[in-house]
Amino acid sequence: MKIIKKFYRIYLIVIILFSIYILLDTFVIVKEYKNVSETKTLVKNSETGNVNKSDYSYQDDNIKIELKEYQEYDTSIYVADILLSDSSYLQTALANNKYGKNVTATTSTIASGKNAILAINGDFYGAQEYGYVLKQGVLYRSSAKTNQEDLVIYEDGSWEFINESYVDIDSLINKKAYNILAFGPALIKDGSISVTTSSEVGKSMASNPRTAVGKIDDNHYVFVVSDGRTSNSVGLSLYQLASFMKKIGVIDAYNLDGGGSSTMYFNGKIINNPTTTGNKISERKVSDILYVGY
Amino acid sequence: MLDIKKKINKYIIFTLITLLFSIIYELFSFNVLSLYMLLAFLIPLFGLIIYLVMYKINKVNYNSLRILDLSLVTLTLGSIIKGILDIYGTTNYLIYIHLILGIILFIISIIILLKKVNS
Repeated sequence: MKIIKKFYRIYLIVIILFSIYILLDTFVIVKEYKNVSETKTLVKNSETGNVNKSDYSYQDDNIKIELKEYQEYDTSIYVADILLSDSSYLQTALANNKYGKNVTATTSTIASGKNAILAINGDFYGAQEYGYVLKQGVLYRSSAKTNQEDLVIYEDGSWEFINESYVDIDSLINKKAYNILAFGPALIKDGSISVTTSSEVGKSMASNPRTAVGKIDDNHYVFVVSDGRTSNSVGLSLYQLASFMKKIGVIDAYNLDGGGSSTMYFNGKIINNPTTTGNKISERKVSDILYVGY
Repeated sequence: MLDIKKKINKYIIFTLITLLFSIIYELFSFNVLSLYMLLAFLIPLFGLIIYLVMYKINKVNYNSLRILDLSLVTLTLGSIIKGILDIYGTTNYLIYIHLILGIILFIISIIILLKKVNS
């Protein structure tokens, strides 16, 4: 009887401490697995030439960006229209130049560290234990996540949507995959909306801040970020986001991490109103970004 | 000796606290729903029902109930943590330890109970 009573008390303490450890392991404890050192860049021409920039536009010899703000579905939507001379200017970067768990920094911090002209938050790979992580030609994680739909960007700039359950990482690397974005789902495929009105990310419901990347043509892209969770801007469902992107001419579109992560950075400034903690406007730290720059 | 009445009161409080925590957490989670969070209170509620039945039939095996307590605490904590991870959109394989321990303890408590009944 006494032994069971003693075991009872010790067990309760241990299980509570272990529960706290799981939360710390998930959200706080930083584990750095790899430095970003061997990244290869595909950018051949890093000479900008003449640069013209304003709060809403940027143009040099290789990159042309125009920012527009829309009000649709009671939501503020920010669109960066991007024209590149070569797809290699569309790049990804990891927080603190390190791959790991809970290795995070704000989109603006990562972007300014890369001298990015334009950036949005990426797929937040660090929140997941599985799923391919391939950034700038370097493979960091090869374990597939069941039914994970990815956007694969190849060295030649072409895009492909794949499901990790059916496509192994070796075949993608053999095909010269350069960046993989593993969040999803795909919003538009070959000009057709590929989500339904009931589609959602994980357990989330409609109307959220969103981030998406789209392709209009070769070397012609859009970054789309919407505000949400505020009285001024309720946010979008995935279907609304897809419909909006189709309307502005996007042929292929892919949803990235949204909610409090949704951030657009342009010419050193945050363009949207990120809502990390409820209605408070502040930038959330993320694992990675997608950016345009040299 | 185990005071069944006291235990019933503790389980009522345990159930209510779990329910309240789940409701408050969900209120601040921007409509991101997790069944693990929402239904976590059912686990202590199950314990409450067991204790009420024991009280009613007046047949109690103290060791079995103590192990059952540990099982239900483990599973409730596991369910809440899984809910927190779901709502954030992340995972952690360590959460399965709660499930495994909870089930093992539950089985042990049943075995002890059955042994007592048969002896």
